[in-house]
Amino acid sequence: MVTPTARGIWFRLTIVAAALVFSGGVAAVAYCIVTAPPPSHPAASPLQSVAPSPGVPWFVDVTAASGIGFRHFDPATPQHNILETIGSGLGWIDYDNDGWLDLFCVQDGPLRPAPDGGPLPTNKLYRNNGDGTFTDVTEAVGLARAGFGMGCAVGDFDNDGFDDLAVTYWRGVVLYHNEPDGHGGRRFVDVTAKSGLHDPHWATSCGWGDVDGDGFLDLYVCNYAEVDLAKYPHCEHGPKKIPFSCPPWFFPAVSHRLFRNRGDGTFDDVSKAAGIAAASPAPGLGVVLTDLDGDGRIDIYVANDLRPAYLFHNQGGGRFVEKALFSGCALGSNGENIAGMGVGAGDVDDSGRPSLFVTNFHAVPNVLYINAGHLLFHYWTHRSGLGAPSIDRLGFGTVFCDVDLDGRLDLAVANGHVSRNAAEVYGAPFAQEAQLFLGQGAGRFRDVSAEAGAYFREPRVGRGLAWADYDNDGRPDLAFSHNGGPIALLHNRTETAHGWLRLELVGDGKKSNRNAIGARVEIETTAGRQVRFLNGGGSYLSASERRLLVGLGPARRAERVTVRWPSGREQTFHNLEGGRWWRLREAEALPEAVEPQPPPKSR
Amino acid sequence: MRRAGQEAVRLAQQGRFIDAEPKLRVALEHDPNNIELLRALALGLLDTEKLDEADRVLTHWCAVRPEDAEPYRLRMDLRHNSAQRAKPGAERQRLQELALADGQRVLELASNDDSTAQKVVWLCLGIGRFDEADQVCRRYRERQPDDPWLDYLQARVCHARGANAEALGLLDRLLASAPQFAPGLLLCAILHYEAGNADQAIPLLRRVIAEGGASHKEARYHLSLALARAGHTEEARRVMAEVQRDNFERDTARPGETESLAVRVRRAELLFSSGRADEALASLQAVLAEDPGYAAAHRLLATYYDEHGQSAKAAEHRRRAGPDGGKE
Repeated sequence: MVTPTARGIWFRLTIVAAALVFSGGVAAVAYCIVTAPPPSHPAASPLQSVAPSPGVPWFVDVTAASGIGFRHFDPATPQHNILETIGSGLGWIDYDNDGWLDLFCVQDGPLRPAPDGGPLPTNKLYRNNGDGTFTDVTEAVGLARAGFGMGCAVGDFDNDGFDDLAVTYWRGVVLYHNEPDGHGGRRFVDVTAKSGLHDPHWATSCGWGDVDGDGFLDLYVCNYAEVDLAKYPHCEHGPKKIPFSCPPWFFPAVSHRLFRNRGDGTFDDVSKAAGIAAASPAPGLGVVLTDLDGDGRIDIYVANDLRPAYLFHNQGGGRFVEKALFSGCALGSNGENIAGMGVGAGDVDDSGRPSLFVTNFHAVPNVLYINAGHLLFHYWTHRSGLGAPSIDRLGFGTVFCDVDLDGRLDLAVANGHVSRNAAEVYGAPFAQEAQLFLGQGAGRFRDVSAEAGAYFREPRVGRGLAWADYDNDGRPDLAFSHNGGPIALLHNRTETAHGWLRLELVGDGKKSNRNAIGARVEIETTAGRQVRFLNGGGSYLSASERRLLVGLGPARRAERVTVRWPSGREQTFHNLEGGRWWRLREAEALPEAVEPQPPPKSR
Repeated sequence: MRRAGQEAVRLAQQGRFIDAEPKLRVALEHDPNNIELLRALALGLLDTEKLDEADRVLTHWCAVRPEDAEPYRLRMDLRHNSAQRAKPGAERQRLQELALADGQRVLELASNDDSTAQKVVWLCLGIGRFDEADQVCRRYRERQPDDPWLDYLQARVCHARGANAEALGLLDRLLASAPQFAPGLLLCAILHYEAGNADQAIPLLRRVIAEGGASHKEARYHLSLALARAGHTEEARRVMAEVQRDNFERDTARPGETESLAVRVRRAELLFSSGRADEALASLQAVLAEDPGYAAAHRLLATYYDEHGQSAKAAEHRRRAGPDGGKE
């Protein structure tokens, strides 16, 4: 018998090396500076598609035709300030309840605006005209606000049936209440001051969720770090002293914030009382609110940049205990830190539990944690097929959605380096291609980026990412934001015979929040069972559509749809015909079929 | 082959590649597809670590003799070794893919090449081609059913494909013959942990840690998880604190550079969590000596004094942290 020690050195070395590669690699390479020239990309794959083929996801960049002219401001500074690396997000919101998702784009600006520098760029809201085009309504609805904007979260915090908007900034959070404009339309009113929302720090991603079960949405806000422009550190690389963006540990981290909704339009900062502030301060970038252990209470998972992630386990009564480290979802496979950016949560292994996906730095893989139940997670990155394709990318926004409607969640990722001189400093490209992975079931994915349309082959400096079926054709579309560039609206033109259902959940607005964030939905068809979660937050600085778009595969209808509402009430709806939009109201026995009407031409 | 070429090959075979190389090149100008010359030059270039040139010569050899396994085998090893030296990223991946393609070609040409089969399985694992790894590994285990290495490879493949019970069976057999084989112990421990048997994982992980070596770091992390799951909370925290401290030192290492105050505050925080409060307090005092208003240091001190029942001191530091310090 051949013993392990009798083999040649090649193989013994290979074992160690391959074990490292296989197990997820080496945290130290994140933010590790190399002197190598930028790597060339692998040769073009013969699988690259230039036209759609049946069953293969296909996205077309329709930004120009849509009329969305938003361009993110590039706040580049000679010092490569870390603030300029973060980018800004975007959010889908049906602000006028006409059934057509509108797009809100967050804007930043110059770090030190000149006093007489002219008008500063502002956030923008684009109203969906229902015909594939959008109209800029920013001024009309009162959202023209300049500042160093970061992210947004969409939620109906006062349960009045209209979605409101939280927007994060470097040094602040702004809350907009969606109100009638007096002319049959809607407008947003800045209610930050009277709401009591106050966060003086660098707020990034935020997410809504009813953490205390009182029927009103509360708001979690990630904070990144304290950056003092007057004492900004100078980071240089190599003998040529090339300036580059300082890594996050150069700046003190600050605690994140949890704001409890009192139900009267005001909020209390309960960060300390709820146990959020007890966690070691860390640079937070992504947050998702979902019930991770199936106890009926919404938990909070936060991706932190080169610090352990947070898993705030909801104890009830608005109290949380941070448990990520020993739940196995705080670090990489070797226990190394993850440069956590965006997050997603969804059932990718047909377990009925939400697993967690976190995007990561260049040269280390994105991370998939499979939810094994009882608040225990297993590192699944390489087993999933998501590891190797992400090694040469720096991931930011990410969404789970079923792009080919086969009944399995797929995954999209926005990529782009943090440093505009990444080639010199990190040996990596600044602009990078976004990626699309098809869910195969059992926690496995297949990279179809080369086949999914031209956008996925164009290097961009990707940041935010949110999905929505903006044209109500039953296929999820994608919107990407780019640092210092225009957004990209991708229309899903996948040719498929698969069925689908749109499920709009409406909580009772008393024990459940009206948005039904925190609901668990089980869909049973002749083709099988799938479980979907209505999460708060997710992705990176961005907000996706809240209506669930469920692929049915070969099935034509759902035999049963069982909703566990945030209140704990369980309700089953029967025989929901596919290809339709169903509104499911808590405590109402019958679902309502919704027919989207073309929106009025103007308001 | 001309006499000069024969002389060049002879010199190379005697280990005198410095003398042989120019002669080999001259001879190849006259006889560019001569396999003996190409082999001698390629091996010499590999020995002298002229790897780019070696790759070019091997590629030419492959083109001249596409039915010969040897140049593909040599090029696979060369590219795989280059991949290991490359930083993780696109270039490493590209080299691994190229090495794998060579390995697959070798197996087409020499299906009894067990050594190359093992390398192909490893490369497939690294790239994430688990089904292919499974096929190759099973085929070669049929030929060598008692090879513990192939058991280990198959166990990794099974783990990657979710066949954990089969993986455990293979590892049991492997560890019976090689009880100190750290990668096998580690994988076995992870499988036990994932199956909910943390108690069984703990002794295996302790053995890996005692062995030291490349698996040590990963084993320590998994030990902290297993200890926590088995209810040994205090030891789990201590081990996890070590993991975090190592992460921090590795992530922030910048030889020759002055550490930022934020780094020093974070180190103090990790020292607190490791029970080394005296060192942490000294470090924070040094930070405040440099910048008496440094809010992060005051906030950390406020937390520390709060936890130790010294509310007056805590309040003072919170006040000095600034107007928002009290809310942290």
